[in-house]
Amino acid sequence: MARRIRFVLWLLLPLAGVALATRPAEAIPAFAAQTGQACTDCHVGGFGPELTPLGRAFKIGGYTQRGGEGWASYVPLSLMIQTSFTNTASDQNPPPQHYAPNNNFSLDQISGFIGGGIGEHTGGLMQFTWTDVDNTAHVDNMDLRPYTTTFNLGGKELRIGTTLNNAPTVQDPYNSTFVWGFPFIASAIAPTPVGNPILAGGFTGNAIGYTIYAWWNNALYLEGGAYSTFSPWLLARFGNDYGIGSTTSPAPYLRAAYEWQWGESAAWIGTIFMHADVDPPTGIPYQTTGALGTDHYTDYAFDAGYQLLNHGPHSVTVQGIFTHENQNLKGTAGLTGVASTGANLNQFRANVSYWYKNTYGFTVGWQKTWGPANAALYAVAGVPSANDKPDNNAVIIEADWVPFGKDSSLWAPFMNLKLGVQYTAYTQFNGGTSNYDGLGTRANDNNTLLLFAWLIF
Amino acid sequence: MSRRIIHTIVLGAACGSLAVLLPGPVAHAADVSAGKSAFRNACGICHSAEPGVNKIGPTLFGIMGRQTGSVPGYSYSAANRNAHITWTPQTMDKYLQGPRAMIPGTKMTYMGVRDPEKRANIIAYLATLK
Ligand code: HEC
Repeated sequence: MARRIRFVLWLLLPLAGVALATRPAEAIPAFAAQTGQACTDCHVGGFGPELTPLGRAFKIGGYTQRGGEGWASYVPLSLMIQTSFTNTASDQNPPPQHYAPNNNFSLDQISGFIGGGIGEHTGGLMQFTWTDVDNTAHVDNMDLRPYTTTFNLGGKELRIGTTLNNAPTVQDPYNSTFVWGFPFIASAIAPTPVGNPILAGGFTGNAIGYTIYAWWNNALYLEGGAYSTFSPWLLARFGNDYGIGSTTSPAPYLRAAYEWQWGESAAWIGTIFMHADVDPPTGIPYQTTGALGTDHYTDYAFDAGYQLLNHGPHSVTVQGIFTHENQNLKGTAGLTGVASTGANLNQFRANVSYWYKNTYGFTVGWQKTWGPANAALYAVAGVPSANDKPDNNAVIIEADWVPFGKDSSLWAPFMNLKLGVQYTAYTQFNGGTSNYDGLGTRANDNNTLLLFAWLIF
Repeated sequence: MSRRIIHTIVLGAACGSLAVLLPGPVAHAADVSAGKSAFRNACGICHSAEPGVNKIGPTLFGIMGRQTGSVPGYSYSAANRNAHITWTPQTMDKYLQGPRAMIPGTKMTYMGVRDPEKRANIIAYLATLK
């Protein structure tokens, strides 16, 4: 633990030093400086992570665009701070570790980013995060692009590239997918439901993904590759643990999407496939076992989105993703002494946002998960679901204010700020509406009010 | 802390911790090949240099000597379409200093190239695209 923290702090130190010494400066001001673009050019609402068509081109282009000038355009560093206040409808029992049962202020995240391009063919983004909530540091989002280049195919541009990343969809250009999907910020203290497909977090931060992609005519995006979990040694260094287990063979990942752009609008549809064979975790940190069998997961996701981004005052975005997961949980069933091994899970996520002048934003999101009773995953210790079902249903409403991030903003492009209020209302949580845990807790006891300040230099 | 010192600290820290990531100092003579590389870095994300390939912006193949807003098949903003400027080295130089100052309302969001030598290189390269 101490070693892990020291290792990450050592990585963070130069970042913190530089960022603090310079200037108060999103994702990420280092990109704004490198590209000579304002935050609003690449991000909806002028604040990451939701990308505009230009933001997607920059990411798919391997973060290599370099139109900025001066020394700052060569400093590939940014610093991000998230602090918040969390209130839940009922006091939490037991209270979150180190916190009161309710009404908590927290320093959720301090992140250092290294991001940018080296020459025309190579670039990347790497985020290191320290959180005061459990006082841990870890390697957060990583999306490296070792090599990318362009060709002419059929009179149109074809871009080919490679990625090395640490979570399925962290490399994806569309915010309808998981890692960079809505909500972009969530309380680190409030309870959240457990049922999620593996695409939504099973390998986040604990695996290395290696993929190749092709982007043709700024429209057709194809990507293929695989994920393999890190060794325990590396996990300890990276400050992350196994999610659903350790892969017994590389887990294939396939992505296809097609985008149309017309007038001030962009729309896309896409699909993701992932299959993973894993030895489940034993409950001891960094340990998994296949002694009682292997778990198999197969995800099929379908996503779509629409953006109206006129350069006048109004922006509207709509995005959604549906995921179906088939599970064969022989290993976990064996470890937990449960008879049934086959199950499935469905999840739908969608959100609609409106932005006025890239400054005032309002978003409504909806997330619904459902599937049959699954004792292997949802009856284990610490997961209070009385009927063993993953079902949950949540509506998330958020209002944001982003005062900076434009060309003309104070200290542009080095600083950006988002202040927001978010309310999450549950009508189902961990399988039920009332008494879902067998202890009398109602789904709406977890309704969460979050006030947050998100600052990035 | 004075700006100077701050800059020194920043550069020192950045070079120290990230020397590998940073390109060495570059001193280009004003020339087409420097212009080509500057074009690929700064403009390439939005513009192609090949005929008929429109991206976020129109192709810049054959741009010199042409009127604003004349690439077939590209959907320009009204501002760019109605600017009635002929692209010469002089107009291009002015445009690249501040696209939105010269054509208010353009949807080219790029802030511009302040370095005169870099502009000259890019313009020299654009002139070869025909
Ligand atoms: C962020 C994307 C972006 C970048 C970067 C960019 N441009 Fe543009 N450019 C555009 C768009 C979009 C238009 C169309 C403007 C309109 O219709 O209002 C345009 C228009 C132009 C035009 C006018 C074309 C015509 O047919 O009238 C020229 C010239 C031009 N760009 C040159 C450049 C050069 C040179 C660079 C690099 C130094 C550059 N641009 C960088 C997006 C970009």
